[in-house]
Formats: sequence, C-alpha cells, structure tokens
Amino acid sequence: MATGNSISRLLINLVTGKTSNRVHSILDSTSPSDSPFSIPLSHLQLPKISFTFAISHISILEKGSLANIDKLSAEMKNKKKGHNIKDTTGGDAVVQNLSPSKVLLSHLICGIGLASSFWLATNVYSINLIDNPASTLRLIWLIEVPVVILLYSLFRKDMNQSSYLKAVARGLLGLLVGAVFHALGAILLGAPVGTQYFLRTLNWSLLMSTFTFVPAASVYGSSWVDWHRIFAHAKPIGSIDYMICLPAHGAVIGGWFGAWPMPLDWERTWQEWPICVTYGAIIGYLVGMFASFCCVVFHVSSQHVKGD
Amino acid sequence: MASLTCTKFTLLAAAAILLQITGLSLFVFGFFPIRPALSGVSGPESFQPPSASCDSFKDKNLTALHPDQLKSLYQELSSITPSYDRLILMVIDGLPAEFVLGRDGQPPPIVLKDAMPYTQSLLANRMALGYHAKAAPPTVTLPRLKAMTTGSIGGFLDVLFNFNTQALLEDNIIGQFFKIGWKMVMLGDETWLKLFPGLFTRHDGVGSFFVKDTVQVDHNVSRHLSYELYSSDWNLLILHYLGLDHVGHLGGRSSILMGPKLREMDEVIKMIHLSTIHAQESDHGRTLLVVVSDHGMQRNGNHGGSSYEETDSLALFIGPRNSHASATDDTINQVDIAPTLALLFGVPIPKNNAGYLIVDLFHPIEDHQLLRVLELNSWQLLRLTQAQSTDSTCGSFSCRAVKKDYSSGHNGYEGSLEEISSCLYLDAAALHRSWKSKHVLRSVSNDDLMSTVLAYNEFLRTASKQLSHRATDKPIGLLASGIMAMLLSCAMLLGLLFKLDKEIYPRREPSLSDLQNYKFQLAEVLVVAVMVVIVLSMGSSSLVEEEQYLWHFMTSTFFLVLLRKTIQSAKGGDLSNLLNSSMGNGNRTCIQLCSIAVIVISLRVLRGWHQGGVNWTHLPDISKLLEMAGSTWIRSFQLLSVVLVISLCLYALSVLWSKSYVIIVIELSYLCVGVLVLQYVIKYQGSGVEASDNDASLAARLIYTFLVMLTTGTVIASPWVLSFQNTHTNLQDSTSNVQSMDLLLVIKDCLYLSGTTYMFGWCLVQLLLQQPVNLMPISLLLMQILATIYYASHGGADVKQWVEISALYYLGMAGHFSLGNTNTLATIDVARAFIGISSHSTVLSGIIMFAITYASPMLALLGMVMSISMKDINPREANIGQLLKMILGFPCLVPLALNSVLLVAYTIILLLMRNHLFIWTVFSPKYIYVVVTTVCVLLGVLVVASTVTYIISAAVFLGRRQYKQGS
Repeated sequence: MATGNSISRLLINLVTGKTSNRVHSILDSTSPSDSPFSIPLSHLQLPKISFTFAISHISILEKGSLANIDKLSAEMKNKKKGHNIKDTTGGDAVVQNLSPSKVLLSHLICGIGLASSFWLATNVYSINLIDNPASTLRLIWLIEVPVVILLYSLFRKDMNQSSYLKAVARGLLGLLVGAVFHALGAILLGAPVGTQYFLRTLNWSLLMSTFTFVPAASVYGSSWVDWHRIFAHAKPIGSIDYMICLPAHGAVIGGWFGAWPMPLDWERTWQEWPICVTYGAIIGYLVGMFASFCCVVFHVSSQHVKGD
Repeated sequence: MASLTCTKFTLLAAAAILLQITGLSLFVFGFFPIRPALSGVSGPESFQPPSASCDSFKDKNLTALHPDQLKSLYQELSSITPSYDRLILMVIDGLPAEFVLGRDGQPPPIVLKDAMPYTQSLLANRMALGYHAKAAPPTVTLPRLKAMTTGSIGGFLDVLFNFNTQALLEDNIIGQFFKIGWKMVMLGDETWLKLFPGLFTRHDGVGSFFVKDTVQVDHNVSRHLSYELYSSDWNLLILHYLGLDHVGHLGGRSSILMGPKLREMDEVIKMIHLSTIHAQESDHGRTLLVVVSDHGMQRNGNHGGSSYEETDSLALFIGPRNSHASATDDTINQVDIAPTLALLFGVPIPKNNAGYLIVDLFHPIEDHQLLRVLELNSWQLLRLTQAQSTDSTCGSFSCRAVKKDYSSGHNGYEGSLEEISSCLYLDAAALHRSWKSKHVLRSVSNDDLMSTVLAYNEFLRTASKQLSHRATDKPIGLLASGIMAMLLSCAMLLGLLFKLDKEIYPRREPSLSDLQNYKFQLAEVLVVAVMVVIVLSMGSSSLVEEEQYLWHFMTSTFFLVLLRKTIQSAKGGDLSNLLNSSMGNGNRTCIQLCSIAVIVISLRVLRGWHQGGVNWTHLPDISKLLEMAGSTWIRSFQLLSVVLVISLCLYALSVLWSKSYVIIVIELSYLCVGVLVLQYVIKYQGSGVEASDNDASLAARLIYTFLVMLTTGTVIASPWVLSFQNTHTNLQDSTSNVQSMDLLLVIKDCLYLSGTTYMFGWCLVQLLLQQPVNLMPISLLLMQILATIYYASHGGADVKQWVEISALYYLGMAGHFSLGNTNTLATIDVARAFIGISSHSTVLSGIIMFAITYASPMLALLGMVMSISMKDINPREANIGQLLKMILGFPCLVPLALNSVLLVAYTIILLLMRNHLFIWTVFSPKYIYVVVTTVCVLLGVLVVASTVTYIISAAVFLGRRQYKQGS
C-alpha cells in the first residue's frame, strides 16, 4: 500500500529530524515499483501531471494522519529547540543550503543591479524617479529582471529535472503573473486607476514582481507547497528560502509603509503614485536582503553548534 | 476566575455607557459654551432704559420708516449729535499692534518705525489714537470680523446653528448703517461679501486662499482707491488688505517682504488722510479713518490661537481733530470697536455687543452727552446680562451683593460678577440721576461728573468682563471631569471586553497552539493597529481632512490579510479541492475567497465613488463621471441598485431554515416596498422637485410608514410565529434534547429574520433618501456587509467574533466616507433632509439628516443582528442570562469599546489642540462628527441589544410553555 508505506517512511523521517513540510520529498523518494504515485514530483517533462499527482497524494495523506504528523513534528521541535534542516538522505536534495558568502554575493549582485540601474537613469538617460516615474521604473526593472532571473535560476530547486533555461523561462512567466498580482493588489489598496497612471502602475508592478515573484518562480517553479510555505506562511527553511522570502516580504511591507505619506498635504511631487511606494519597496527589499543574510549566517552558525 | 453574572455585566456596561454620556456632555458644554444670543436688531428701544418686565419692547412697525426718518429718529432719541459723517474702515489682515505701537510701553523697533513714517508721525502729533485691541480666539478672519461688527464674542456652536448660511444674521453695525440709509463700498477680502450679502453698493472682492500672492491681492484693493476717495456717494468704505497676512504666512514676522508691505500700507493711510480727512472738503463731511487688524500673528506667521502675539491686534482711529489724550499703549478689547463706532455715528448698539465704548474718542464732548453715551452703552449691556442671567427674575436689578467696605469706594462689592455688576449699575444710575438734577439746578461740580463717569466705567468694565468670560472661559473643572468620566468608561468597556474574551476563548494549551496562534494573530493585531493608526492620525490636521484614505487603506489591508489567512488555512492539498470544488473543505475556502474578493473589490469601487476630503476633491471620481455622462447613466445605476437590493433581500429571506407562509408574506411585502421605492426613484428622484412636490412627499411618507410597520411587526411577531409553526411540526417527539435544538433553531431563525429586516429596511430607506448618485454605493455597502457576515459564518472558529464585529465597524466607517461625507460640515446634505416632510420640522428633518449622513455606520451596526444569528449557540447553556451575555453582550461591547477609544482619544487631542490654527475649521467640526458617531453607535447597539434580548426571551418563554403543554 503506497500510502501506508509513505506514512511509515514519513514517521521514520520525522524521527530522524524531518518536518512535515517536506512530505513531497519523501513521496518522491519512494521506490517506483510499489506505488502508482511514483512519478516524481518535479519531473518537468510532465509538470502538470506530476503536480496534480503530488497534490492528491498529499491530500490523501492529510486526511488520514495529518493531525498526528503535526503533533509529532511539534513535539519534535519542542524537544530539539530548532529544526535541523540539513537533508542527509541524499537523492533530490530538497533543501539546498548555500554558504553565507554565496548568499551575500548573490544579494550584492541584486543590490548592484539595482544601484547600477539608478546610476544609469541619472547619468546616462538623465531621468529620475520623481520627474519621470514610468520610464525610470521601466529602466530599473529592465536591468533588474535579467540579474534576478539569471542569478536565481542557478539555485533552482529541482536541479536534476529542469534545465537552467527552463528556470529562466519560469522566471519570465512569473514576472508577468506577479505583475498582474501586484497591480491588482495596489489598485485594491487604492492606487489610482486611469490612462495617465497605466504605464506607472504597469512598470511599478513589474518591478515589484521582480522583487517577489520572479526569484520564487525561478527557484520553485510551480510547486504549490513551496509557494504556500514562503508566501502564505512565511516559514522559510534553508538559505534559499530565506533569500526569497525575506526580501519579498520586505518589498511588500516597505511598499505598504511607503504609501503612508501620500494623503498628507505637503504638495511634494514624490507623494504621487507610485514614487514613494517604490522608494518604500526598494528600502524594504534592501532591508529584507540584509535580514536574509543575517538569518543565513545565524542559521549556519547554529547548525554548526548543533553538529558539534 | 469567577465569571461575571449577566446582571452584573449588564449593570457594568450600562454604567459605563451612562458615564460616557455624562462625560461627553460635560466636555461638550465646557468646550463649546452656548452663548444665549439675542435675536433681532436693536431699534429705537435701545435709547430707552431697560424696563423691569422681560419683554416690554413694543413692536413698532419700524420697517415702514424711511432710512432718513429712522436716522433722524435715532438722533432725536439719543440726543447726541454724531461726531462724524463718514467712516473708512481699513482692515489690515494680520497686522500685530506691536508693529505700530510697540510693546510694554516700548516703541516698536526702529526698522518697523521707519517702515511706517506717516502713521508714526500721526501718532506722534496726536492726530491718531492707537490701541492694542485684544482679539478673542479663534484668531482667524471670519470670527474676528464678526466680533468687530457685532461686538459679541462668538462661540463655535454658532457655526453649527447656522451652517446653512454664511451670512451674518446677528445684529451688527454694518446692518445698522444700512438701515439708516448708508451707502457702503467694500474693497478687499470677499469674506465681507459672504457675511453681508447685498449690503454693499459697490464691491470688489478678492479671494483669501491663494496665500502665495502678496502683491496682487492688495493691488486689487488699491487700484479703486483714488476713484473712491474722490467720489462722495458713500458713507462707509471698507478696505480689507490681505497682503500682510500672506507675507506672514510665507515668511513669518521678520520676512523681508514685511518692510515693503508696511510701507505700502503706510502709503495708503497717508493717501486717505491727505485726501479726505486732512483736506476735509465740506461736501464730503467729517470722515473718520479707522485702521484695524483682525488678528496678530506668531513669530512664524501663523495665527488662530490665543497667544499674545496672535491676539494683539491694532485699532487706530485717525480723525480730523487733535485729540488731547495720547493713548498709544492702552489696551482695549476688539469688541469695543462696535459700540464705539455705533455711538460715534448715532446708530443703536448691536444687541449682543459685549464691549464698552472707548471714551477718549468722544472728546471733545459736552458733559451731558458724555454721560448719555455711557448710559446708552450701559443700558445695552444691562439688557444683555439680563437676558443671559440664569435666574428667571429678569429685570429686577436688586443689589444682592454685600458692600464690603463703604469707605473704599466702588470696588467694594463682594459676590458673583453678575451681582456686582447689577449693584454697580444701580450706583451709576443713581449718580447720573443726581447729576442730572444738579445740572438742572446748575449746581453741578466737576467732581460729580467725574464720579458718575467713573461709576459708569466701573459698571461697563465689569459687565463686559462678565459677558466675555462667559463666552471664552473654558471651565477646567468641567473639562477635566468630562475627560475623566470618558476615560473611566473607556477603561470599563475595554476591561469587560477582555474579560468576556477570556471567558469565551479560554487559552488553549500553549504546546499545541503555537502554530495556530501565530496564524491568527496578524488579523487581530491589525484590528488593534487600525485603531492606533486612526488615533495617531487625529493629531494631524491634514490627516483629519483626508481621513477617508486611512480608513480605506487600513480596511482593505485588513481584508487582504484575511485573504492571506484564508489561503494559509487552505492546506497544500486544498488547491486541487479548489480546482474541482467538490469537497467540503475546499468549498468552504472557495466561499471565503469569493466573499473576500467581493468585499475588497466593492471597497475599491466605493473608494473611487467620491473623491472626498479637502485637498483632492478636484480629481475625477465615479460620481463626477456619472454626472458628466448624463442622467441616463445615473438612472440606470439607480435602477440597478434598487433591483440589486431587492433581490439580495429576497435571496437572504429565502435561505431561512424554516419555510412557511409567513416568510412568503414577509418576502411579498418587501417586494411591495421595493416596488414602491423603485417607482419613487423612477418618478421623482433626481428631478429636482422631490422636497417640494406634494405627491413625492406623500409617496415618501407612505414608504416610511410601510417600512416602519413592516420592520417592527416582523421583529415583534417573529418569535411567536416561528415557534407556533414549530409546535405543529414537532409536537410528537418532545424529548428535551430535541426541544432545545428546536428552540435554538427558532432563536437563530428569528434573529436572522430580524437582522434581514433591519438591514433591508434601512437600505430601502436609504435608497429613498440618498442622492441619486449614492444609490449604488448603498447596495455595494450592503453586499460588503453580507459578504463579511457570510465569510465569518463560513470561517468557523478561525475568525473570532470580535474581529468580525470590528471588521463590520471598519467597513461602516469606510463606507461613511464613500457616501461623500467628509470631516467638514459642508458635506451634510441639508436639502434632502426634507424628503417626505410636509411642514418644516427641525426634529424630523434632523432625524432624516442623521439617517442620510450615518447611513453606512448604522447599516454595519444593524448587520450585527444577522451576524449574531450566524453564531453557534451553545444549547446546553441553561441559564438564559449567561446565554445572553455570551451571544449578545460580547458583540455589543466591541463597537462600544472601539468607539469609546476613538472618542476619548479625540477629546484629549481636541483639548491639546485648542490653540491650533485649525481648531475651529478642522478639529472642531471633526469633533462634532465624532460625537454624532458616538450617538449613532449607542443607538445602533441599543437597537441590537433590545431586539436580541426580546427575541431570545420570547422564544425561551414560548419554548418552555410548549414543553409544559407537551408534557
């Protein structure tokens, strides 16, 4: 029985320090012979099928024993005070851990991309965010998107199943989907609607999407569980999760706070949509990157301590 | 932890509410003193002594008199020859008296002195009399102009009582001048034109809001000057120069523009003086030039408060004669200008004047005339004090104060200011009489005159002080006790809320709920954050003006967080369930997602409906688009919203658990009312004849009656009808368990039915009352509130009840602004408050105005009944009191507590801001709204609480009776 088998494996894994969040990884590692659900999750040749299968698999699992698993995992956590993430079982390394220096480097590359886009805007094109918000935003995202996609596609989760190019393509798709998502969110929160704002909103949402959706899409693809974990629960595990989760949340929260000066009657041009929101988002993004670096450093050092 | 009993809880909550009401009324009466103003206009009766009876004034038909006749009548009655024929009133906005007269006996700085050489020379030659005229706060132009012309110190509530019109209705000298046939010319600030519409023969008004312009505003005044000064057809010329105030706003007192501006003003004074007063051509008559400023300014140029710099305004009288007194450092009150001018020009003193005349200006004058002007001023002040005196024995000015020491002269009275002033008047009147008799006998000495004048002065000073104190004093004790009471009640309500919250949601074991707790905290934290943000924003005048953005932003954020939470609770596997939503769990999530989508989208549409606030009203919004697109569009949206509301209503009624003929009857009657409203909307709304047309008001009254009867009838009858219906169906199996389940279902059904009735009744009334463009927002609001209730009822225990009720409250507040309301009094729809009222009734139209303005918060509060009906009621709760406390007390506490927090916070902020520039224009109107919101919340909670209590007790009573009959 596949399900029974998986559950028993799962329990074993739990005892050895795994959390229920990685149910699908265990499913993937079950042998193909004894289960109809043996198509690996991240076979990207058939991404949709594998995805659906994995989902149904999990839902079957859940109905039976989710409560138990939750309980167990909670107890495990309490005992161990912090979770051991390192996947030692081999196979598809689900949680890749990057060294802090690599994290720092990639964040620096993103930051430099951002800074160079600003530099280009002021010195080459002589435009700035306040006077020409739409064109400046376009310039920023045009420079930042390739940087982010090319960089994060290196860290794609399903290293073995999908090629680098595929990850890049996913990133581009994520850019569009994320832009729609962010534009909707901004409009719901009160961004002005109108033809004169269309370009600004479009470029702003593309930039926001670059900060939030693009890295996630490049790394996770269409894995609902990962997306759910990162964006709905904000529970990163492993350094890549931190690298995606914290800057994205930073950008969104920063943008939210950036909207605060807008109703004040200071009569400054930067109070217009979306200038101060962009500033807030960029500051939040930078803070998020810094925080993610700190988390990774802390994380690694605590792991070393535990290892000893 | 001992749980509260229901009685104790009710008593505590009621005590808190009573405390809140008491504290609020104490504060309001302390902060906004009500000054009993006399209506009407002074006429010839003011030249007669106030008689002993209250209303002896015989209403002579004075309107028949020709202005010239009136003028001679006044002169004859007053027996004073006017000293001047023409008046030039030059108002220099914002000029501190310090600039001209110096401070504390010191001359002004040499720079300022050099800037106004001509004026200084006039002062030095004693051609002019200058005074520091103390202005009362608020030191902004409009109230100051009122004070100068009426002599009264206005209260804020004046604005409320006539917010309909800006015209000055009180008795004032401009009106008095007009009555005696003066021709008047006004150049300058258009505030004068708003205050005195139609009184000016010629005028050129300039707007006072474009502060950056310091040159053109004054040029627009001065360009007419040469023409006006040489024409002889006017008696009063008003020049209002705004430039100096603008200079102050831009650069403060020491702005580099200040010197040139003062020089310009000096040139104007020189020009007037040389051309009219100095020359004194015989055909122009004797002209008096009065240079006044309405208020001063702070170092940085702001004004509005009550600091010395702001209240130190100028009064400079430049006449043709050398005066013997040089009074450059005397301090008068700004209100003294009105009686002085009135007496100088021989018109009656305005009725509500609280000032006393400036004696120096009347010199040289004959003795009996001097005493006569003092007497006239005293009579007028005495009339006013009589009218304002609290005891009803008006007119009997008995001296009740005890004379402390006869030897120490006039200052020797003890007692209240009121008693002293009447004693002083009697003294002065007696001295005047004796002077008169001696005068006839020609044995009068200078001492007699002096003592009479002194006595009159004493009385005038006392009475004036008494009157102005009543208007401006803020009784600290009253304010403090009011705030303390409100704070206490706020603490009580919050305490009760926390206690009940602990009882209803006992703390779970921490080991299991770490994860769960984290998930649900964000929404709860946000509920608190909304309050904190709103409270903090109240301190900023621009955020008070643009409050709608905050409510919308925070409410949308709150619902987006709920959206995230919903997705969160949808476990990984739920996505597939969502895709083929056949499973129960996924279905539930899907419903939740859909309701949140409905809420956020309609929130956004509502936000775009009216571009509210103050600063961005010119930006396009949906209502403006619709109005531009023409009436067809508005009409179709109107019809759409009426149909939407009716169909929502029918749908809501049809999902009731118990199907019976009663429900069908109710549905049919709602359909009936809906059709009536639809017909009304089609026929009358937007046609412009609503309020006046007879048929329209008849139809509106028909709808009112029908709706009120239907709603009350349904609510009162529902427990009886629904339980009787149960008797027939379930009589045979009456085990106690089934019985209690039955009872529960009956209660829930009744509550649901009443909640539906309330909400739709209110909505249908609103469809009738709101302006045509606002019908769609009403139906969107209804949809939002239904969706919120629906979301919470499908969210199980995930959404705590207090979060749900807070969300309803926030939706109500956000909707309040979406209907076009702002925090200024200007957006109150007065015209529509007369729909369906045949005769003018302040009470009825007030109620309708309240209903129109508070449509949205009230709808949200009424939605609480339906929300309560969706909650799980614990059938094992044997004690009806306990049951009531849990299902009714807790939700009712939420809006009370939220509102009390806002009320207390804003009250404290208002007190802190009492010297702020915008206290009267921004903060006080907002406070009125906060107070009325409190009234709205109290009313709504009262309705909800009484309905739920009635339904539950009636249903339990009926259930027990049935049970007895069954067994």
